[in-house]
Amino acid sequence: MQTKIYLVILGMWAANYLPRMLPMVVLSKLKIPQPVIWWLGFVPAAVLGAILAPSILMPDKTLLISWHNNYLVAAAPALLVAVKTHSLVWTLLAGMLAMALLQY
Amino acid sequence: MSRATFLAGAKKSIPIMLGYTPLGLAFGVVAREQGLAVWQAALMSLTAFSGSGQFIAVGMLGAGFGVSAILLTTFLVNLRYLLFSASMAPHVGKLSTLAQSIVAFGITDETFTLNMSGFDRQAADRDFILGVNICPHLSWIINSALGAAVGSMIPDINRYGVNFALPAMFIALLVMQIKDRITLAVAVISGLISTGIALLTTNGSHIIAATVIAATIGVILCQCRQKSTS
Repeated sequence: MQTKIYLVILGMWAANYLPRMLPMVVLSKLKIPQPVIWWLGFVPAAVLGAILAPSILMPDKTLLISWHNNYLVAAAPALLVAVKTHSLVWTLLAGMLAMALLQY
Repeated sequence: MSRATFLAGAKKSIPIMLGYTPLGLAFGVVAREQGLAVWQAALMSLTAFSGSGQFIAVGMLGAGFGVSAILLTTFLVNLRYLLFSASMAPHVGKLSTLAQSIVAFGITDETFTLNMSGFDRQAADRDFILGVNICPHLSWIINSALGAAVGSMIPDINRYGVNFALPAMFIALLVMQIKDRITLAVAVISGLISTGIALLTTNGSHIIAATVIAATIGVILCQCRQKSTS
């Protein structure tokens, strides 16, 4: 587990630094085709959707669409606050508060 | 190196530093939750400097994913840095390649936005950008360490809803990404595909598979829209 953590930390450096550095240093001289720009632009929303949906719809690895699914229920106030405020901090607080109350 | 210019950038970055305080604390708490030591959380904040990437990485570590799946997912979620870096490129042409590779290290959603807003009024300055980038980075590292240290002192921390910090973070990041209907459609399609695949498989491939399929559908939708309007 420790080796794995260090591998991830080291890899995270590369995975996060290269996309920040290469375009500025290299790609600035090239013209990226429009469909590629679109594709890159959709990737963050797609990744986040892909991570989020299973984590709230199937918290225990099986599909649970019901009032008994705390993750699904807590997502509602978090989503509302996120849409209203566009703030990471307020969304985090609203979601955690909802979850704390549901587990109380 | 001009100290005054650096400090001017640092001063501009104070709101970002404040914004990173609760997020860094939250990351530290979550990282500790998922089995990282205090200084491992701080080290990751130093090398990666990516809120979304780090939350995903520690979440996946805790869930038992393999190293390659974790890194590929982090890379994918941070593909937006390619766009940030490319859009800064025309403004930093006067900087040396070394200076470019150093200022690129500090690109985040927030520092990018702040730096770009400055480029409209004045030419890009190495020391100013460094000031804007480094101070929030320090805030991020210190608060990650604090969060991890404090988090480990509180027993049964999930009672306070910490187990929902990760999903809440993703909800906020996703909402910020939704700029138009096509992006919304891409996110929903991706979520459905991902859940479908996750129900059938257990190897963690659902995130990457759903992302590639949904982003491609988004490009097709864009091309359809362009044809219908032209």
